[in-house]
Amino acid sequence: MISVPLFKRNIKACMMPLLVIFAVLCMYITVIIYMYNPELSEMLSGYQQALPEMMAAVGMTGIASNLLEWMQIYLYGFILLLFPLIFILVMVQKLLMGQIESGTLANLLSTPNSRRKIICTQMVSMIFLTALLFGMLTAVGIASCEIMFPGELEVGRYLALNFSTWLLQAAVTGIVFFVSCCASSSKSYYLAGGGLPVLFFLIQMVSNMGEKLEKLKYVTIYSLLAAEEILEEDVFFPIQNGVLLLIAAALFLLGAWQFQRRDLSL
Amino acid sequence: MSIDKNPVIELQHATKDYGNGKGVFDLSFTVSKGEAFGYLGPNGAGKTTTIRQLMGFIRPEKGTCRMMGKDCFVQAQEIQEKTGYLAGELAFPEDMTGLAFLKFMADLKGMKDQRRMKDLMERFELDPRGKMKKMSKGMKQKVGIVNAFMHQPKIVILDEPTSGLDPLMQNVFVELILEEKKKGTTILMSSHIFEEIEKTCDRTAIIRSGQIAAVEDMKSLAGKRKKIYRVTLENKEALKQLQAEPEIQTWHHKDSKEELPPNQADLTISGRLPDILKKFADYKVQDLEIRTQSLEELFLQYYETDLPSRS
Repeated sequence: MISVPLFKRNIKACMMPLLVIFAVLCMYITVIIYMYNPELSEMLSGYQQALPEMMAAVGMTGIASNLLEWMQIYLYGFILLLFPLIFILVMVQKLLMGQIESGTLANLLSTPNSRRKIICTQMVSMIFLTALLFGMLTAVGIASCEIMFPGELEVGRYLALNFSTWLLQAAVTGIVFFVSCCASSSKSYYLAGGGLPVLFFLIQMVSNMGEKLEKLKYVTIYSLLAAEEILEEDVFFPIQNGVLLLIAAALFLLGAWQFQRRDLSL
Repeated sequence: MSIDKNPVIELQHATKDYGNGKGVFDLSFTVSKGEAFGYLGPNGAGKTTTIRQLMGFIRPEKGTCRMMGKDCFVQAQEIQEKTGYLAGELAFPEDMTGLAFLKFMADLKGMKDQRRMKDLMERFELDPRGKMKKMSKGMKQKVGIVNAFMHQPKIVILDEPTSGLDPLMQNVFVELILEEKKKGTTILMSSHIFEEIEKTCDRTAIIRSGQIAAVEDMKSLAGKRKKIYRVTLENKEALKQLQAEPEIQTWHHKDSKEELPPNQADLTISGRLPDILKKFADYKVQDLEIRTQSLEELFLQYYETDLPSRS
C-alpha cells in the first residue's frame, strides 16, 4: 500500500536535516557519556540543591547511581525531547505541508496513485525516518558507553528507554502530521504543529518544578515517557507506552482520513 | 451539435463557491472522445477551479464531474491512469534536476518505456539536466509538457499550456496537439490566448465570472466572423451619406482606442458584394482596406455582455 519511488524520494529529501540533527545529538550524547563519573554526579547534585527549580524544570533531578541513570537525567529531560521535535517539524514540512502549500503535491496526485496510497507512503516515511534517527542514536550511545565505560551500560534498559522515547516522538509526529493534514498554510502549521508540542513541553517543565503543579502532568504528552519505570522497575513496556501508541495511531489515522477528503487548492 | 451519450469529460451543474463571487457556478459541458476542447476566459474566471475539479483536487459542492464515466474525486486514481495533466502554475521540487524529476514522475506513473519522454524532450529542445531552481519559466513549462504527454495519455488536461513558451515552441506545441488529436486523444485546454485555441480546438467554452457564457463550435464560429471594410472617402459629409445606406452598417469595437480621421470609417455590409463595391465607387472611394474580424473581437462580445447576477 505504499509507493516505493515516492518512499525513496522522501528518504532522500529528508536525509540532510536528519544528518544535521543526528550530528548535534551525537555530540550531546558522547559529551554527556564522557562526563560521567560518580564524583561529578555528587557535584551536580549540589547544583540541584542550589537551583532545585531550574534543574527540575529540565528534568535533571536525582543522583545518578549508574551510567544509564546519568544519561537519563541529563539527556531525556530536554535534549532528546526538543531536538527531535525540530527534525519532525522540518520533516513533515518537507513531506507534506510544504508540498500542499507550494503545490508540488499536484505532481503526485496527478499520477495513478490514490490519495490513500500517497498519504500512507508519507506516514510510513515519517515513522521510518524517526525510527532511523533513534536507531542511529542508540547505536552511537551503546558504542560510546562501551568504548568509554566498558560493561557499565545496562543495554536492555537502554534499548527500552530509547524505544519509549521514540514512541513519544512518534506521537509528537502524529500531532504535527495531523495539523499538516488540516492546515493550508505553513504559518498555521508552525503555529499549531510547533506550538502544541512546545506548549506541552513548557507544561512539563512547570509540572516538574512544583508539588502543587504536579497535576499538570496529566495535560502534557511528555510526561508519558516512563523513564522511572524503565530504570527502577523491570518494566520494558510500561502502560504509558500503550497510551503513546494509541495517541500516535489515532492522530495518524485521523490525519490520513482528513487528507483523503479535503479540498486541495493545488 | 450532436449529443454524445458517452462523453469522455462531463460536468453537470458543477459548483464550487469560494465566497465573494469567486468560484464556479453551475457549470455543465461535455467533451467527446478525440475532441479538442478549448476553455477560454479572462484571468480569475474560474478556469483553474474547473480543472482542479476535473483532477479531483477539489470536490464540487453541487453537481458532478465525471471523466470516462468515473467520478473525478472518488475515482481519481483510475482516471489518472489515462490522463495527462499540465498545471497552470507549475510547482516542481526545486532540489531536483529536470531529468531526475521526469524519471521520478515516470516511476510514479509506472512507465516502463521512456522513449516517448526522450522523443518529447528532443522536440521541445529541452535540456533537463539543470536544477529546477535555476530553470526559466519557459524551461519549466517544457518539463511540464513532457510530463503531461510522456505516458501517452488518452485524455490531456492542460492549464494555459503555452505560457512562457517562445513563438517557435508555441508552434511545436500546436503541432503536438494536432498530432495527438489525430491519435484520438481527448484534449481540454484552458487559455486566455485566442490564437492557440483557434489553431487547435474543435469547440470552445467561454467562461466568465465562474459561469459558462457560451459553448461554440469553432467551425461555425469561423463562419460568424465578419469582414470589416475600412473606407476612406473625400469628406465627412460623403461618409455620413454612405453610412446611411441600408446595406451598410457602421462597425465599432468598444475597446478600440484607435481614432479614425473624420473621412474614414469601419463598415460591415449586408447584401451582394458587387452592389456594395459599386456603391463605394459611386461615393468616390479613395481607399479601401478589408480584414476579417479576429476571433478575439468575436469573443469580446461574450465578455462584454453582462451575465445575470447571482443572488
